Amino acid sequence: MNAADVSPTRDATSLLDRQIPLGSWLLTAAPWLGLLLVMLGTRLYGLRTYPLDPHEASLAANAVAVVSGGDLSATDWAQPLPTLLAALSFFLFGPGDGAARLPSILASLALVPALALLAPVLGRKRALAAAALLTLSPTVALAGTRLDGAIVLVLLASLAAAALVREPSVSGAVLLGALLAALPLSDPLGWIVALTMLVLALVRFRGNGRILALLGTSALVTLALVSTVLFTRPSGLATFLGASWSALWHDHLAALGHRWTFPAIVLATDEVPNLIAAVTGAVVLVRERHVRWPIGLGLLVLLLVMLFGNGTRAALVLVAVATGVLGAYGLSAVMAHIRWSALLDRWNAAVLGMLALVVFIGLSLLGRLLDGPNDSLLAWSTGLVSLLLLFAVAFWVLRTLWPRASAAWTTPVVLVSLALFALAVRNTMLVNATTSYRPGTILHAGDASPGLVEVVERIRRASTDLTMFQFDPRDPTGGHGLVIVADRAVAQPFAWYLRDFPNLTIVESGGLASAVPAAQVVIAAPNDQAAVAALRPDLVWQPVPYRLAAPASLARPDWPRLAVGLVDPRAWREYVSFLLYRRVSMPTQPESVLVGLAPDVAALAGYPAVP
Amino acid sequence: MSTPALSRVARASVGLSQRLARPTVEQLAYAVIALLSFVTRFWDLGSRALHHDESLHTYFSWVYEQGNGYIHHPMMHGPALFHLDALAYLLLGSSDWASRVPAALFGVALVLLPAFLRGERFLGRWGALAASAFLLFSPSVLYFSRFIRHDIFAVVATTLLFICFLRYVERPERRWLVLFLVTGAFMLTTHEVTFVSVFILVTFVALAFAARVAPVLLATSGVALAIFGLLLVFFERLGVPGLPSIPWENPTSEAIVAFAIRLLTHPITLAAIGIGLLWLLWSWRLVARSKPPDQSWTAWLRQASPPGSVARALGNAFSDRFGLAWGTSIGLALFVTLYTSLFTNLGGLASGTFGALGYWLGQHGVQRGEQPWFYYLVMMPQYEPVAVFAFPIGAAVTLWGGVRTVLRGVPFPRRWQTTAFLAYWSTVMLAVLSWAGEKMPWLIIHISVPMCLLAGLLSGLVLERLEHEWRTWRPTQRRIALTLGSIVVLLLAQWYLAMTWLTAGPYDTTTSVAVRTIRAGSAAWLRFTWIPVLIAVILLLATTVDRGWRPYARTLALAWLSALLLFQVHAGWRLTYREGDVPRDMLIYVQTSPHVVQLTRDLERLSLELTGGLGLEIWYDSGTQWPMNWYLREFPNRRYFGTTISALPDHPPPVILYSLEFLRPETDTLLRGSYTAFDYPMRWWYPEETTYRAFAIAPELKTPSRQNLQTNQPPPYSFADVLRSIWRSIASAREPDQQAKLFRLVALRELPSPIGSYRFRVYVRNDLVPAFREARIDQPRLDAVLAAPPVPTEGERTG
Repeated sequence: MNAADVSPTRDATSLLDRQIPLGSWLLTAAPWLGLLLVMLGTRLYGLRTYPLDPHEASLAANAVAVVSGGDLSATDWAQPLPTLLAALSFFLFGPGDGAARLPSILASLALVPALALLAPVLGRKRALAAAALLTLSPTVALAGTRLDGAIVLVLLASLAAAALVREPSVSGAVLLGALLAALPLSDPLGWIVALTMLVLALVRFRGNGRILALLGTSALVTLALVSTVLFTRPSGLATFLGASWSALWHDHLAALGHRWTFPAIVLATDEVPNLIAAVTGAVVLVRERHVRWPIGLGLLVLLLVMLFGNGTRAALVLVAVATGVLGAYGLSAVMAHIRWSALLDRWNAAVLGMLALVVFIGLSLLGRLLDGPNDSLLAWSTGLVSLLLLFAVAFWVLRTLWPRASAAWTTPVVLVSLALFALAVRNTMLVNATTSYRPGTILHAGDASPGLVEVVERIRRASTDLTMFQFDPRDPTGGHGLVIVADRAVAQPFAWYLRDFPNLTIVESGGLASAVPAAQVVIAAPNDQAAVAALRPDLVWQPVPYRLAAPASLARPDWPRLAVGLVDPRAWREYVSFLLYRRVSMPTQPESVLVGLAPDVAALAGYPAVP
Repeated sequence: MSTPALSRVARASVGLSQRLARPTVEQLAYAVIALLSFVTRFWDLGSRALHHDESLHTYFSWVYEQGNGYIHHPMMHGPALFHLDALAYLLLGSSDWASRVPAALFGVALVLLPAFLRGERFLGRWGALAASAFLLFSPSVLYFSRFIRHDIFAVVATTLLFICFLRYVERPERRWLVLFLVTGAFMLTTHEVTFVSVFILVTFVALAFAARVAPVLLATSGVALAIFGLLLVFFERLGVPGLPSIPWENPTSEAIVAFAIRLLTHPITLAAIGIGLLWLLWSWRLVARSKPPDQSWTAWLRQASPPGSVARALGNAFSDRFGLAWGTSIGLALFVTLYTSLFTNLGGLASGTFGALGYWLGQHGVQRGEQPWFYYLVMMPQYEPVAVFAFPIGAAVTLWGGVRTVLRGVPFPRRWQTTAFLAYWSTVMLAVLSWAGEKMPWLIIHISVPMCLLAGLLSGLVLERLEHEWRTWRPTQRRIALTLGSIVVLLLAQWYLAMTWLTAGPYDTTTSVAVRTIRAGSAAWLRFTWIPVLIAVILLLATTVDRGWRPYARTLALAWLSALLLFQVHAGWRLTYREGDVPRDMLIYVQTSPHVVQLTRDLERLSLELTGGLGLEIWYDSGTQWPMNWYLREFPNRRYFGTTISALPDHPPPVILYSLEFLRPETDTLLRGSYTAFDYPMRWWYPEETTYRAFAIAPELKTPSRQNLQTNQPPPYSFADVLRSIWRSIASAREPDQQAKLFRLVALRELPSPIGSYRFRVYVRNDLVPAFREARIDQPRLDAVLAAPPVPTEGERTG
C-alpha cells in the first residue's frame, strides 16, 4: 500500500452512496413537479415579447449601477430587493432583458414549494389546488415575467405566512424577521402586508420576548443590509425609507380608491376561473361551517387593494393570490365531489359527451339568434331550423341517456370544470401575446409597446454605420457614438436599451433647449416636440409607440350599460368575446413619444431623410 | 433454450429500472453535471462569428466533405479535426453550429472524464466530482469547448491518456494499455502540443522509475545534463553559432537534406549525441551491477518495484506483448487513416510526423503574436482563480509529502502520486508553453485542465473530511459552520460592491484618450475596502491554526471556493455567451467581428430578394478571403480577385468586399463612381499594449520596442532587470489609480483603450443601395407570440 492513511469516508457509508428513492419521490411529488413544469413553460412562453417597461427599466438600470458601481437613482430605490436580485443576475449572466426577469421567474417557480410549505395549514390537497390555480393565473404569470417586485412580494408573503404558523423557535424567528423586512424592500405595498403580518406575529408570539427580540433584530439587520447593499451604500437606508414611504403615500395611501375598479375587472375577466373557484370555496366554507379565515382574508385583501392598491400589478397579484387561496377550498371540494372513476363507465361518458354537444349546439343557436338575419333571412332561417332540430335531437338523446347514468349529475360539474380549465390555460398562455387587442387589457397597462424595440434597433444600426470607427475607452468597440438626448419623463426604457451609448444624456424637460443643439437623436414627450423643433428644424420626427394604457371602457366603466348588460344577452356575447379574445369596442392606442433624428441618421435608420 | 436468456434479460431490465428509480447521490450528481455540461456546451453554439483560424478549419473540412479531398499541412495541425468536422457536415449539414459540434461533444466528454479517477489513489470520489464541477465552470475550458480548434481534442486525448496511465499503474489491466496506445495515436492526429504531453509523461515515468528502482540514474542524468550545459556555455564562448534554422516554410527536399546534414554535423548535436551515448553506457553498467547476474531483467524489475508503482507498471506493460500489439496496431491504423486522408494522400504520413515537428519548432523563432513569457501567468488568474489558488497549494503538498517521506521514512501520503503527477503536468506545461515562441490564448486549456484536476483533488480531501465531521457535529456546530461560510461569501461580496463603487469615477476627457478616474476623495477609502477580504482571510487562517476550530476551516475554504466559482460564472458567461466575438477579454485575442456575420445575413437577404437564391455576384479580395471563403461558400457567383481591381467590367458586380490593407486610393476612387461604401471591422483584437504587456520586461521578444513597456531603459536586459520590473508592477498596485484600473479590467472588462481592428469596405452598387438598406433593417428582433386572429365585433364595426 502506497498510502499513509485512508479516506475517512471509507469506513462509514458516504453521502455519495446514499440512495435516493427518486422513483417514489417523483411519484409523491409528481403533481407539484408537474405544476412547476407548467409554471416554467407558461413563464418562458413569450418572455421577451414585451420589452422592459419604464419602471422595469429603471430598476434594471439601478441593478446595473449596483454591479458596476454607478450612482443609484434615489427615486427608484423604493424597491431594493428586486433590484439586488436583478443585480445578482446581471453579475452572473450580464445585463439583459432575460437576466433582468430571471429572478421573477425563479420567484414565480418558488411559489409552488412555498404553497407546499403551507400544506399543514391548508391541507395537502388544498395547497395543491391553490398552486394549480396560481400556476394558471394570468395575473401571477404576468408578474412572474416582469421585474417589478410584485411576484417577489407575493412569494415572501407566502413564506412569511408559512414561517408564522410554525412552532416558535430561534431560527424561525430570525427567518420570519428577515421575511417581514423583505416585504417592504420588495414593494411599497409590502409595508401594509408586513404590518398586518407583524400584528399577527405579535399576537402569536405574545409573552415570548426573546423570540420577538430576535424577530425585530433580524428584521432591522435585513432592512439595513439590503437597503445599503451590504453597507457599501451607507445612505441607502435613508434613501430607501424616503423613496418607499413617498411611493407608499403618493401611489397608494393618498390615491385612496383610485382605480378601484381594476381588481374587480381583473377578477371578472382574466381571473374568472379563479373567481368562480373562490366563490365556490366561500360557499363550501359557509355551508360546512369550516374555517372562515380564507373568506376573511380574501375580502380583506380585496378591500385593501381597492382602497390603496391604485391598480398596480403588485396589488392585482395580491388579489389573485388571496382569491387563489380561497379558490383552493372550492377547487378541492369540487374535485373531491367528482367521482372520476365513474366517468369511465360508458353511460356516464355518453352523458358527458351528449351534454357537451347540447351545450355547444345551444350556444351556437343562441349566437345565431342574437346575430339576427342581417341581409339574408332565408339562410338565417334555414340555419336556425337546422340548429333547432339538432338541438332537439341531442336533447332527446341526452334525456334518454340520463336515467341510465350512475353519475349523471356529476357531468355538468365536469363540463364546467373543463371549460374553466381551458379558459385558464388560454388566459395564462396568451398573457404575453401580442395581438391588436391583447395590449389593451388592465394587466398590460403600463407595459412598454413591443414596437419600441424596433425603433431602438434602427437607431443602433444607424449608429453602427455612422460611428463604427469612433473609438473611445467608454465605447471600445466603436459604433455607439451617436449623441442622444432623452427627456427624463420618457427616457426609460430607451436609456436601458441604449445603455452602451456613452453620449446618451438624460435631461429634464426644461433642459432640452441647452442639450439638443448637438444631438443627433432626441427622444421627447409629444408636448416638448414643438420647442425642440424650433431649435432644431432639421430633425426628422418619428412617432414611436411607447407605453400601453388601459382601454377607456375598462378604466372608466359605463356602469349603467354594464348593469343593463347583466340581463341583455347581446352584452353576454360581448363579454364572452372579451373573455376569449380581449376584444374591446375601442382599443386604446399606446402612448407615443417622438424621436427626432438628424437627417443622416434618419436615412440610415430607414426613415425619410427630410423633416 | 430461450427462457433462461429471456429471464436474464428481464432480470437485468428490472435491475436497471430499480437502479434508475433509486440512484445514489453520486450518480445523480454526475447526471446533473452531464446535463449542465451538455447545455452549456451546446446552447447558442453557432451565434459567435467564426474566428480566422476556425474559418480555415471549417472551410477545408467543408471542401473535404464535398468530396474535394484534404491534404494535411502542418500549419493547420493534425487531421482529426478535419475528419470530425467533415463528418459533422455530412450528418448535420454545413453551418457555424455544426462546425462546433465535435468540439462541444469533446467538451462534454472532458467534464465527465474525472469520473474515471474516482479511485482512492486518484482524485477520490468527492475529488472527481469537484474536478468535474471545476471543468464545467472553467471559463477557458467552456469557451474553447465551443471553438473549432484542435486544442479541445488534444486536451481530451491527453487527459484520457493520463487516466489510462494512472489506472494501469494502479491495476495493470490490458484494456488500459490498449486504450493508452490508441489514445496516444489519436493525440498525434490532433495538435503538436501533444509532444509536450508525451514529454511530460515520459519524464515523469523516467523520474518515478529511477527514484524507485535505480536512484543512481538520477545522479548520472544530473551529471550528463550538467556537462551538456557546460559544453553549451563553452561553445558560446568559442563563438560557435546556434543550431541551424529549420526550413519550415514550404521546404524543398534539397533544403530538408541540407538542413539535416547541417544539424547532424553541428557541434552541439555531436556533443549531445556523444554525451547521451556515454550516459547510456555508464548508466547501463551501474544498473546492471545492481542486478544479480542470473536474474532476468523482468524478474529484477518485479523484485525491485512494489505493485502499484510506475516501475512495476512499466515492467508489466513490456511483458504484455498481446496488449502492446493490439494497441499499437489500432493506434497505427488510426494514425495512418487520418494522416493519409482516408488513404487519398500518402504524403500526409511525412507531413504529419517530421513535417509537423519541424514546422512548429521552426515557429518558435518566428514568435507569431510575440507574446511575452508572462502571458499565461497574467491570463490565468483573470479566468481561473480556483485553479490558480489550487496550483501552489498542490505543489506545496507534493513537495511537503515527498520531503517528509524521504526524511522521516514514512509512507507517501494518500494520493501523493496523483498529486505529484498533476502538479508536474501543470508545472511543465506552464513552463513549456511560456517558453514557446508562439503563445495563444487557446493553449491555456492545456494548463487549466491539469490545474482544475489538481483543484478537484484538493477539494476532494476537504470535502471528505467535512463530510466526516458534518456527520458527527451537533446542530449548533452545523449552524455555526453555515453562518461562518455565509459570512465569508457576504464579506467577499461586500468587497466587490465597495470596489465597484469607489472605482466608478467619471471619465477624464481632458487627456487625448478618456481615462476612468476613481471617485473624488475615495483614494484614501480604497484601502479600507480590503478590510472584508482581510477579515475573510483571517477567519480562514485563524480556524486553520486553531485545532478546536479547524473543522470550520474546511467550511470556510468551501465558502471561498463558492465565491470564486461565482466569479468564474460571471467571467465565463459573458465571455462565452454575450461577447464571445468582442475582444474585451484577454482570452479572445484576435476575433472576427460580429459585423461579418451580420453582413453575411444581409447579403443572403439581398440575394434572395434579387435572385431568388444565393446567386448574387460578390467579389472579395485577399484581405477578406478568410473568413469570407467560408461565409460565402454557398454563393456560387463569388469571385476572389486577389489584391487589385484595375477596371470594372461592363456589368459591375453588385457587391465588392475590399480590405483597407489592399485598397489603393485610385481603386477607391474608381469604385466610388458606381458604388456606395460601408466600412466594418473584419477582425478586431484585444489591446495588449495598454493592458498587460507592461507587467514585466520580456527580453526574449524579437522586437526591441516590445521588450520593455515599463521604463525608458534600453535593451539588453538582465535577469535582475526582469525581477525589478515585476516588483515595480506589483508595487504599483498599491496606487489607488492602478488598483482601480486593474479591478475594473478584471471584474468588469473595462478597457483603458479602444480595441484595434482590421477593416474592410463593402461596396454596394448604387442601384442596389435602397434594397440593401431595407434588407439590413428589416430583421425580426422579437419572438412574437401570436394569438388567434381576432374577428371584428359588432361594436367595432359600428365604432
